[in-house]
Amino acid sequence: MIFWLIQRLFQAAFVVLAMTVIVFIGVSVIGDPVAILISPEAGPDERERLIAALYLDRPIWEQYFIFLKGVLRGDLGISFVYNEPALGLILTRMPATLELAFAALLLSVTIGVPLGLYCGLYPDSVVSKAIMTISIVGFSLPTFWLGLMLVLVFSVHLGWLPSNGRGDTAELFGIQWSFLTLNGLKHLILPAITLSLFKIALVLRLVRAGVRETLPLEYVRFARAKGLAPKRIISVHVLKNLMIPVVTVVGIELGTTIAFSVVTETIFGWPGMGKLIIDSINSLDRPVMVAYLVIIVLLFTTINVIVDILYFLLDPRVRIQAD
Amino acid sequence: MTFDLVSRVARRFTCEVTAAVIGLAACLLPAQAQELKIGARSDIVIDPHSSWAMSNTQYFYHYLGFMNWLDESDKVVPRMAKSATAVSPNLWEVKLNEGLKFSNGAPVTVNDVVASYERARTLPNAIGTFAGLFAGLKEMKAIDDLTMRVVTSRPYPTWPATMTQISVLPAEVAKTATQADFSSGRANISSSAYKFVEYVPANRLVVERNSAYVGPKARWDKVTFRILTNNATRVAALLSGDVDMIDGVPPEDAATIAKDPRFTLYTGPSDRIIMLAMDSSRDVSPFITDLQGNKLTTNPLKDVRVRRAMSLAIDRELIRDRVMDGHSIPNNQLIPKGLGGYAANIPEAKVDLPKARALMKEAGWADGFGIALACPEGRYVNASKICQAAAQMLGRINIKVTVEVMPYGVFASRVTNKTGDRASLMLFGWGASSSGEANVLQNAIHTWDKEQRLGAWNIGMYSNPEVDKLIVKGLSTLDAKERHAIQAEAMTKAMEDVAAIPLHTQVVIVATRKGLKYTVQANECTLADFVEPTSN
Repeated sequence: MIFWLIQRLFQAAFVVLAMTVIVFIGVSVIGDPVAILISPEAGPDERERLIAALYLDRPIWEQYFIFLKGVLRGDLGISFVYNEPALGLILTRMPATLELAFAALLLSVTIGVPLGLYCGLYPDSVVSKAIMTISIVGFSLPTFWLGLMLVLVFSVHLGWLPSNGRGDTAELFGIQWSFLTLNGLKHLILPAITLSLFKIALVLRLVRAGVRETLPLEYVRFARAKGLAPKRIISVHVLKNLMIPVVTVVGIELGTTIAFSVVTETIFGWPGMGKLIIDSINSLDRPVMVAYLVIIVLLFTTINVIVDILYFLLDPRVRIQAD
Repeated sequence: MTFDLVSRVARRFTCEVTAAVIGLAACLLPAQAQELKIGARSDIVIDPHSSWAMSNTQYFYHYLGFMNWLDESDKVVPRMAKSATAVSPNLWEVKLNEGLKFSNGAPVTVNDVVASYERARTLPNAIGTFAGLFAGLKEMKAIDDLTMRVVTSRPYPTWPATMTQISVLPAEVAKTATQADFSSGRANISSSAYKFVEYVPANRLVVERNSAYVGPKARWDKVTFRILTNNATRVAALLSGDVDMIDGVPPEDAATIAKDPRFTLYTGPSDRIIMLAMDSSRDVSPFITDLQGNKLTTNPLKDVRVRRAMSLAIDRELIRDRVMDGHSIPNNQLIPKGLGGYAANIPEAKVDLPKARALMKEAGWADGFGIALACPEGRYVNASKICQAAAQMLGRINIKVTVEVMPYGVFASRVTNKTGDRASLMLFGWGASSSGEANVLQNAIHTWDKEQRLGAWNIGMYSNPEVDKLIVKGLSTLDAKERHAIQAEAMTKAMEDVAAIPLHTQVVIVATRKGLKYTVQANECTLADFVEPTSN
């Protein structure tokens, strides 16, 4: 287990390193950040001084090594736009994104699993068929459209929910969270629904397929023959086996939501990392782009490790193998 | 005993009812309207000396002191300064008002001003540096607490306008403050009508009335800027009543909002003009081809008749009506009407296809040529749509235009790289906010001259010695009226020679809920004290 964990960490470090190289080359070919950020009225001498100060006049490999040296000191660079450490800039926006991602995850699991279970157990009922049809809508609607429609209906026309922002926040562990206040929760509802609709449909379909697959299996039949209550068969034997693919998918989805909820955050004015990265790309803020992607790679690796540990707990076969 | 309990409960109940009634009354009083929520289109770079852009300055105008301000039509008006006098061509004497105080109670002195300006000039790694404003500056010194002397190496007629751009902090803050001190608010010590309350990145900026301010009282107790950079989100926030007003209304939504009885739309000319810049200097321009796509060995844009024909082929009124939804002002020169350097004698820029075709024929280009139009996206209102429209209009005189849309960052680095390929035809905009007059001349029309810091944004590399001479003369003329006359003369000459093709003046569009009145600012700033509640 420990050896496996260490191996994982090495893999992660390598991925991060490879990614920084790619990003470095990528961002350096898409225009000059000085041109976009310096005032049009600044003279050529200020321009040259700045280019030198930001090492933009050095060859790309040299810039890269300067960056690596900074990383060893825990410094991922200073944002060109905000003139503050890129890492800090991203970390201050992280709670908002995490909150939104976990809210969406919670919705997708609490709604998707029971509905999927129902559809799997009673595949021929009218309700199941209706749910399955609606779920097609769930993963074919683009988020930007859905988000805008929700805003139009619930904020503009009905006026029930706020259209944007995080609302009031309260402090927990030194960080501001929206879900702790009523006003904040209200702000959270629409973006969370927008993000979760696709995931609900996904989880629902996964669970349904799983149930359909598991029910005819021998161990379920055996449990039935033994006279176990149907409730126990489903909640202990069927559901536990189902959870393995669901955990994998939900894990990956969580990562994607945290990293790339750009569109939803933009539409709802949600001050998270996604909005920061899109603004940084627009203003060619290289240090923020690089730091963001480093953090995202770390995040994905962490999630993968957690998913693997969950496997370990859910699937006895994995445990036996590890032993 | 029982009676006692009842009376106690009754008394408590009465208290609560009274409190509730008072609370309710407080809610019903108009005093409740003292908080203003603005949906703002741009985020802030919170360190006031690190990024020189009006989109930042508009926030600092609220909670930091400035020597001068720009009024709604870009005129320089005194704020903390009492006066600014040019004692001799290279010496400005600036007097500070008496009795000014920072929000921490300390008096404002010239030392604070000098230290702040020094910080703006030298702040390391500030990519949007203010340093350019201090070019040619020899020395700033305090004569006494209220008198500052500014010595320059050459005449600096727009120094009063420069003082509208740089915020003033207490000297000890200016000398020691770090980025984090501005984010936390510790360093944001106000000598303006409002003071800083909090800034949550990408979310909101909150300011409240500064009671220490001695000038006109702030109109609002509290102002919250909700940072909503996405157009649709901002409009939705207004429509759903989350905010009282929004700036940067997209032209395509303006009509809908104007029709809605719950809202009012306010529009006015900005100080930014949109133009087409042309490569009129190189003998061969890399993005001009014949109609088959082969590179030309001559540059048709060197011929003023071709440039004039292009200007005549463009229907600015059609662009206004169809592309800008009515929200642009066709212009015939590179400075909006009413600003210093505007030349009233330049004829109106009207579409005239027969004349344009005749000019093309006369120049020997009746069959036309192909050209690529470099078009920056994300900086000017509807830029790519304007490019498409202009391309079609030029097609009517047989100039086949290919529109190349690119992010502004890519555009800017490409067209300003004087040693590179640059572009042959470019859409470009220029705002006059930093001086309130035709500074487009020295920055974008004067021949590129690195040593003299002239023509850095002359992206077509236009060059006309006669115009240059007038521009330089204007730069060293202290008297504003005289200077503006010289600028107008330079503008007239440049437009006769079609140095660039002016398209239109951008329009500032702001929407408020009913019951508020807003005075539009030419410099595109959104300022809370220009929002007034109306009686209904």
